[in-house]
Amino acid sequence: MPPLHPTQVLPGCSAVPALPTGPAAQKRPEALPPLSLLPPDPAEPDPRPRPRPRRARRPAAPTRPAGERARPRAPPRAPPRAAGRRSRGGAGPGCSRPRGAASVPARALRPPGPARPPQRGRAMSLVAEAFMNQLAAAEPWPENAALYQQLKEDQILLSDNASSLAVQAFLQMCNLPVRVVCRANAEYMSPSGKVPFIHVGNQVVSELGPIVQFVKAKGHSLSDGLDEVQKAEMKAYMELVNNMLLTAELYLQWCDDVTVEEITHPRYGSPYPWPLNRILAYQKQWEIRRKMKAIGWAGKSLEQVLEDVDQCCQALSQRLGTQPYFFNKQPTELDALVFGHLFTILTTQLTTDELSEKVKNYGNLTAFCRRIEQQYFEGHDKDNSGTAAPRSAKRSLLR
Amino acid sequence: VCEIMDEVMRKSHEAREKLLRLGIFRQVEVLIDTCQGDDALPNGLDVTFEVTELRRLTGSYNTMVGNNEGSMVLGLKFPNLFGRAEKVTFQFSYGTKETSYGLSFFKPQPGNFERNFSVNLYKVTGQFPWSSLRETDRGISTELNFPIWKTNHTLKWEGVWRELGCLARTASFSVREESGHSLKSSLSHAMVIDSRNSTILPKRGALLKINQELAGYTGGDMRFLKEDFEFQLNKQLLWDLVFSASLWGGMLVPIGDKPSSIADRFYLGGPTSVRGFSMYSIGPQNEGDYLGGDAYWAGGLHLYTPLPFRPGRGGFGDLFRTHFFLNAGNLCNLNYGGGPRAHLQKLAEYIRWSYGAGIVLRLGNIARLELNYCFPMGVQSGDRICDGVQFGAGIRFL
Repeated sequence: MPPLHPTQVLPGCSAVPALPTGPAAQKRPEALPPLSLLPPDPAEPDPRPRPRPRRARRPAAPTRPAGERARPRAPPRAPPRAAGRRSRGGAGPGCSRPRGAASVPARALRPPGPARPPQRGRAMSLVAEAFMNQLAAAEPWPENAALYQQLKEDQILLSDNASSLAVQAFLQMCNLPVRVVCRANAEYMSPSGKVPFIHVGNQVVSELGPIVQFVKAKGHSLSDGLDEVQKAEMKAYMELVNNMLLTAELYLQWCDDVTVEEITHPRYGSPYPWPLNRILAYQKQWEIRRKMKAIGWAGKSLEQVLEDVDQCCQALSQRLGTQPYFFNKQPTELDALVFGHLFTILTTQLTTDELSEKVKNYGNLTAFCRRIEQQYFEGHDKDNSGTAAPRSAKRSLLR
Repeated sequence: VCEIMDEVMRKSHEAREKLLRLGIFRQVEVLIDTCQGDDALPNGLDVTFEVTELRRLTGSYNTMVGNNEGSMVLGLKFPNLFGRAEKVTFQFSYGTKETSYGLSFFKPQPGNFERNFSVNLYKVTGQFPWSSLRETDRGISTELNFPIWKTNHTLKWEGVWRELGCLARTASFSVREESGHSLKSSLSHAMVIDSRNSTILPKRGALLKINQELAGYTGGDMRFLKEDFEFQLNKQLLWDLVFSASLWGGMLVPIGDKPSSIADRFYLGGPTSVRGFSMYSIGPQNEGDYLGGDAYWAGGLHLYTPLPFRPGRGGFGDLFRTHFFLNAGNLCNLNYGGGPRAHLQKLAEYIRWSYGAGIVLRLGNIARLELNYCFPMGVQSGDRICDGVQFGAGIRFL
């Protein structure tokens, strides 16, 4: 059976330029995925998805009332107040509401404070930000680098756990020490709204793609030994995993009613008190379902999704073959990503076992996961309280 | 007879004031006449109040343009919904950056306007560039006001769903750590004693406000006890000079092991508090973002005089005053493991203070504008100052 290429599995991936011919090229007549699918550059991280369109947030030129000292940060003029309104909400000392009148809380309708004036490089253009990133890249990897994710025991969901494990695996493969910090608000702390994110020195970078670029700028890279063809192939497979496996995980978590009710909602809202836990869970569900509708997955049934997962695993299995890693001798970020997702699927107990059964059908994939776990994670079990500890026992995500 | 007539006129004037304060009449006229008619008393007086009511529903539409933001504000009001001066107000503000709205129901006790009850529902967003913080509050609050002897008390329950976020990608990590959602359910009590003759630029009298808030025992995940007070004393000296002293202070004590949230802490500095410093730019900070403090105090001494040479006397010039001021204050955190004595000591060291002079313009009886020339002193590293000319507008000044 001819090997499945990512472009054959991914619907809608077409019109790509041809690869130069070479020993690897004979297997695939089609070629590079469209440039837009490539991992974004860290200088332009993904904007956090917002429910309504926002204008670009460019801080305005500073307003300088006469005589204010020309410090780098020109303080904003105290905004003029409408009658009866106050400048700052409850954090300020005390609160005075107009007595007697039926008043909306005074801070309701004050003219909002002025936009942040630029200072000391804060109003950075993209070029300047890229330059700052380059400067930061020159610093060595610090000892106290931290990776943030949601609470391991009670809160984290399948897809987030997979992404976090992928990043941890990648950093282990690069031999860069990082400690895992669990915070209930990790998703909101992240600059792009997605976990995990790493806090290295002064920089905050989220998601595997930008993290790979960031680490590369610091001089560590796993894919240096690959030629152009292989790099393109690796990117294609990474896109396959992101578009298939990750989306299937999200679908299962948020669009399958049984899983939603029994696992997702209780876990997602667990750090918050009532009624906030219900509100946040429903808000997130609405957001994910809208995204599914946009990419055309809303109409799919669970069987179709599992079928897609099976096809994806088949492609990966065929690419892996009998090699230890996807690109023979050395692990690359693709290995980290595949390990993250497959290991999480295998070790997570959901309402049904169908998802993990699909992966178990491919022996070389399970062997691959076990190999990476033994090599990169077992040795570190003793000195961690924070690593995701992908140990052997089936970790249950059921409450 | 003259005395009786004076008495009647005084009382009917008081009654007129009370009717106007209900906010449901457009105008109230009083007619006093001798009794006439069949059942007239000898030497009796008829007092007639002629009132014109406001419309049942009034609306307003404003546009506001501030620094880098424009917004449209729509207001709807039922001044007298069920016939006993109940007021329902709806306000909606749609801006280029943020949207806010609020619905409010207010009911006074019939015959006793001082005792009233109100319920508010609101969504408010705010941007705080001094902390690189964006805050969205959605909440409901119920409030009960009542006077006891000379003091005025307010009891309030408030439930707020608070969402914090970073205003810019370059926000400091301490602010980033505070991002997320939280639910605050708090009971608060405020007491006000106000014997001043005016809210803005009073000539005599004193003000004492004490406010306490207990959060966490009625739900939610924020638990703290917050106290703050405001004291002001005014005295008129000779020749239209007024001397004023004010003192503010507050303390936030988190209950349990969760630290206090940046949105509950106190902030200090700016044209409305310690002048000479930038807006809320005193105290603990991280990479230029001010995080606020758990305890603070601030004090001011002012001397108000009329404008030199008294231009426009008797008219427009009376709205202006010159003032000379001395402000001082301090802000600190309480989470370093010391006891109360250590807290007091910490508040007493590294005091920031400033002095200067300026012009004050009074806007109605609600707000005032100031233009000051300030000399900030006692500046610590990390504070941002605004020495020289500083402009301020607001309703509550130190």
